[in-house]
Amino acid sequence: MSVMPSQVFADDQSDKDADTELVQRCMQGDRQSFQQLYRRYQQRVRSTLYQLCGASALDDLVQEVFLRVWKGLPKLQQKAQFSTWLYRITWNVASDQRQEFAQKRSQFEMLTRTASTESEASNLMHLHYQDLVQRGLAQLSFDHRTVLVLHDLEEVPQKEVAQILGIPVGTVKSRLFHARGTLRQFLQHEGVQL
Amino acid sequence: MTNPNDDERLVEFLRQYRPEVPPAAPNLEAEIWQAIASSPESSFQPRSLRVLPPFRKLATGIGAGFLLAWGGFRLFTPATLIDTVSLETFMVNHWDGVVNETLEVSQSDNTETDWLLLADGNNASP
Repeated sequence: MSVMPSQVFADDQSDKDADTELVQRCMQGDRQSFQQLYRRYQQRVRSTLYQLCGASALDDLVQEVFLRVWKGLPKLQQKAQFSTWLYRITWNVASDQRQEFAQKRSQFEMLTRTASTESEASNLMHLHYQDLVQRGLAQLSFDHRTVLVLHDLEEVPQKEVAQILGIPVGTVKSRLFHARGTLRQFLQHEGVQL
Repeated sequence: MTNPNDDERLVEFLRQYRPEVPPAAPNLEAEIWQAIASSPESSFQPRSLRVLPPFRKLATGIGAGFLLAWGGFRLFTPATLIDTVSLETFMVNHWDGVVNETLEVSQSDNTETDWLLLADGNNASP
């Protein structure tokens, strides 16, 4: 069962305060606090990486993200911006994998299809739509997919997406527009009317 | 131009049918902690240093004060020296001027010569 983004995303002040407190403890070398941070965010990191890179090497990528976070915590200046910083690292790890991902794309698609068809769901239509979404995402360029996954699936605000990717908000809007257009066309071509 | 409602329907569809994320390996968390445990901890601030920043600020302030005072001293002290040097130069120049003027006056003073000429003239005339 997937976790809804709203359950894990630190979008209110109390969550951000809790993050800040945990980050401060982590910076003192408290590994238990880092464990709490991991449990707060691992599902969201995992989900983002899965949408961007697929199922292959997913565990390794998640591990790489949290190792980079642990090592980079002493350099984190704005503790309140932890979630933005975490997504930036997640995106960096995904970007690092992009070349390898492109080379193994056909293999990735085969694996993700297999993963979808192996899901234990009684509704075949639901499985079919999941497969379509997965294939639709795979049609997008990495930049467009990143913006769409962060904004539309992970519910990160556009301004924060711009901060994570280091691009203007206008570029985020533009990429989102094109990504949605491409996906809409793909879905319509596959017989889905929205 | 797409209708905002179309975007909403598309996003809702994507969220509803986003592929389920495969579960993590059972030992993933343990592996992460093991990797973290083997990573160097030296990059984190030691406990004692966490108390220091306010004192660091104070020490920095005092240091800056000393630097300003020293800089001010360096700024104003040369000016006094320059005044002294200027005064000495002024005096030497004027002293030379006085001496030179005296010499010039002595050299241009023909009183003695004129007197001798006058005396010779008196002796020459019977």
